[in-house]
Amino acid sequence: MNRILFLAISALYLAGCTTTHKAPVVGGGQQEPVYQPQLDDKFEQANDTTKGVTIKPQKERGEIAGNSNRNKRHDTRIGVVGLLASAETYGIKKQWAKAQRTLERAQRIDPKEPKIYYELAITHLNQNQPRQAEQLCRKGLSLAHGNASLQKQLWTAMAKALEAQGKTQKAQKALRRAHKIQA
Amino acid sequence: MTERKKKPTQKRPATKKKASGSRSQTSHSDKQRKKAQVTHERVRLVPNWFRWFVKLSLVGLVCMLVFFVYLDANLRKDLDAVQWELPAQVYARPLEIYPGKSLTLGSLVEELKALGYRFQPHRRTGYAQTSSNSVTIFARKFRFEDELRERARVTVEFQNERVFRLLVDGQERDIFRLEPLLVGSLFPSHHEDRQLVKIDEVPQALKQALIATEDREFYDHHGVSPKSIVRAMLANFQAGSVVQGGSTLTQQLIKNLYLTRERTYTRKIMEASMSLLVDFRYSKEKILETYLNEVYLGQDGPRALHGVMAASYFYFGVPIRELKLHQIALMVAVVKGPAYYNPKRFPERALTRRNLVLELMVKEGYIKPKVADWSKRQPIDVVKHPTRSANRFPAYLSLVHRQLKQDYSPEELSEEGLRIFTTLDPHVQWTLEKSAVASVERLARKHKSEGEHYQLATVVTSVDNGEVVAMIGDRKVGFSGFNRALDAKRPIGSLAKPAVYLSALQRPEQYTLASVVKDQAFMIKTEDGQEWAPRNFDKKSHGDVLMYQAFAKSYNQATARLGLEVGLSEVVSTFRKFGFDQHVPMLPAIMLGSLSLSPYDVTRMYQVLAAEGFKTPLKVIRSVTDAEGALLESYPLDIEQVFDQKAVYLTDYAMQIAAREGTGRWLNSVIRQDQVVYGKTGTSNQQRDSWFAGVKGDYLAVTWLGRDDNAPTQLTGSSGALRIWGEFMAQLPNEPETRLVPEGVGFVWVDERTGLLTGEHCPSARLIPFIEGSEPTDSVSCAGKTQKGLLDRLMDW
Repeated sequence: MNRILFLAISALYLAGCTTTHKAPVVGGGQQEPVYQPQLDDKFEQANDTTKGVTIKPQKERGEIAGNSNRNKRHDTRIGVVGLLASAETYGIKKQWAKAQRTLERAQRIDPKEPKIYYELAITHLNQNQPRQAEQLCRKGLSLAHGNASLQKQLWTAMAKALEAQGKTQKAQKALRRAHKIQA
Repeated sequence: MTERKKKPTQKRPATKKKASGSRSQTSHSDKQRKKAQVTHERVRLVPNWFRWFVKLSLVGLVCMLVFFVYLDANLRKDLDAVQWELPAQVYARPLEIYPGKSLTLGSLVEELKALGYRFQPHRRTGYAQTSSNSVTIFARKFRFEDELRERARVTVEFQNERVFRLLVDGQERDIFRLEPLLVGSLFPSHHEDRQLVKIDEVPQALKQALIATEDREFYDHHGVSPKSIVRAMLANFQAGSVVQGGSTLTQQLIKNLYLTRERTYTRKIMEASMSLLVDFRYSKEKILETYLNEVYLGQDGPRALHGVMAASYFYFGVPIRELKLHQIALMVAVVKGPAYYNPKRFPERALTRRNLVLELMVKEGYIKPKVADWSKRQPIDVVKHPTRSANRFPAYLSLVHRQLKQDYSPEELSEEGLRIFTTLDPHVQWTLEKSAVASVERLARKHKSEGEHYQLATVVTSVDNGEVVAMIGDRKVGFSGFNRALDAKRPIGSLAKPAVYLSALQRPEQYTLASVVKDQAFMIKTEDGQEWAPRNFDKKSHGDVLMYQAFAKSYNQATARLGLEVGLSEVVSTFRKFGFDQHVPMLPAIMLGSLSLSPYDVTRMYQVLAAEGFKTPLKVIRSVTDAEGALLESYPLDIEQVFDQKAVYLTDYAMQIAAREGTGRWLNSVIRQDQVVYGKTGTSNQQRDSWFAGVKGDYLAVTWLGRDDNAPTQLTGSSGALRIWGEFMAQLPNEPETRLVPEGVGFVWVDERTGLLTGEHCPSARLIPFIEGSEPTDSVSCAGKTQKGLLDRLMDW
């Protein structure tokens, strides 16, 4: 009985410890930021890299600044929307090189937008450049966290890119991943 | 042009006629004899000298014909195929404006001023106006590599240092691209700068002013004006010296194009003959156009300004289409003697002549006296610093040139008017120049004896596509000598450490950021028999530390032990994956930065860390078009995944701790807490080199500070390069966090003494990212009492 009780308590304790959802929100631009250059001597002392200064626990913050919205999805920058639309128009006309240049312009504006990498991969596939298409799919996937339908599209495009490079087994694996995603 | 080719053959029928005539003579011998008698009698009547005169004249005529044919051939070769040697034009990136963009009103105004926009209340192209929170731009037409953008009225509204709304010709729009700044030209060896204009782009007033001043009868004469010559001769005779020239614009053009400047009769004759020919063969408008593109209008250092367009940018900072009458008159005034009437050096002289040009325009009836009077009252109105000065960013341009040389011949680069669209962001470049120079001066004052020898280099790129947006290669940023950013190869010190940690973190089953590593002295014998015993900077060892702590505090012994544990070959392989073509030796010292790299090479390495493990070649050129705008080459986005994204994320997180709490914590005093910033300091032996490489928002920057003679600087990475980096990066736009946690990475509370799981509320608790499945299983209480993980306990049980 004691053992069962002990197991139950430990399980609860561990579950509590590994929770990742309760991370306190940090920084987030709430406080008045301090960003005036301070060139006093106190920083001369503080800068010394290896004087054995212990890293203080960030209790009040829980983690280092700037990671507050780590589960948030990326918001597409507005300027990109119109460019994606004109790239699509070029795509319909099969002007892939123009579509590609428009998408690269969009990528410069919003490099964290996974949709752009997907569209770019498609233009490369259509220009018979499967190696670059595959890499763009990979980049898209690295940013598409939480966007199931886009992930599905990316895996499907990746399968095509791999197939075109003769990597049949990998292509099938990618396709299976695409099918697994419920979007 | 085709009809001209026929002309040299026109004389042939005449020769034929003569030939047939001689045949007819032989067939009628009687008549011939009679004719001969008559002629003989006539000859007696005509004096001998006259016969010689006729003969000589005929010879002269033939000679002249031969001469003209020769000139004609020469002209065809040159004037038809003309083709000026046009320097390649190097453009910065165009500024993309869209709602939500981080952009201040001030920086937009700065860019517009650099582009030569004038802030006056005129609703005309080339002007702009500001209000408290908006800018209205009457934007110029521009041919981009992918489209021709027409003129437009653009209103940009700002709120909280961002673009709030964008209106183009009264319509709300989601994006607008401003034309890019011309940042340099690649000149031919003779340094002639020239930008061609078509005659229909030339303001009428400019043509009129030129004709009124230089050649009143331009539209009436045939290339040479006898009237003008006589008038000039009289004037010169009266004055007793050469005060007036009788040359027409055509003659001036011929002189400039083909002949020397010497004042000889032969040259004068050549000039006149060629002018007649040119006038015969070309339209007046074509001659005028050629003249306007050829005329020499001044000097900017070694750069010779040819043509009205280059001069217009140099003197007034705007294209000719936007010149006002008094500026047009000034430009025409300069034609007479660009050195003597240099408006920047001798404004009064130039002003007097400008007003004379205006009077001449009135005299010819081109303008009304009232208009001339108003224009005469205007100041000299030239820009002090030309907006398109030659090569204002020498370090950056040397990189552009280096890359272009791989694809183009020197002639193509300096003679064909290529348009090169680069990735340079002038705003970032200006910020870097101002900030880095001020920072290094401050450091130099602090360290007097070494300070004056400090040199520095910085490379700034855009994180996700490897575009180089700014660069300096010398403390004197305008100096175009040794480019340290590209060519100073120095030991990178602790900048190498991410390669060691990344190698380890790619094995999540063995290493996490919370793994315990020993910071303890040791000695090994390397393959070449040398002893290697790394020491820490503070000459102490720190015992058991967690991996993230060893990284943040840049412990050498812990790092070296970790690297040896993971395997030196593994670390070398990681270095190679970063894309180093050069040989990476299998020596343990490379783990602590014995490798010598240029700031540019270090940027390539950190680029991979900043871009989720994707390698991309650094890019400075987006595309190249020909002079007419046809695309010749574009350089597409090229990426390749070389590392697992999750391991890279953990490495970056360790760099984030280093930047905020470890060796880089000075950054807290300059960079806002809500900004994600990560990076690594580096110091080489005896503090010869001070480095910092890191990321803030969308930008990666690598800064090196050291001395050319490689002597110690008395600076660490933290007390030197970090300062320059931090003060510069603080001024770049702050972005909401863009770095997302990759799939398969989760955060867990660990005890920072042991690296074991702990309660969120324990004083030593810290939230650390782990690759899923690699989290610790054992836990520790706030008091430090260890409890084994569930699995272990079940096993024990």
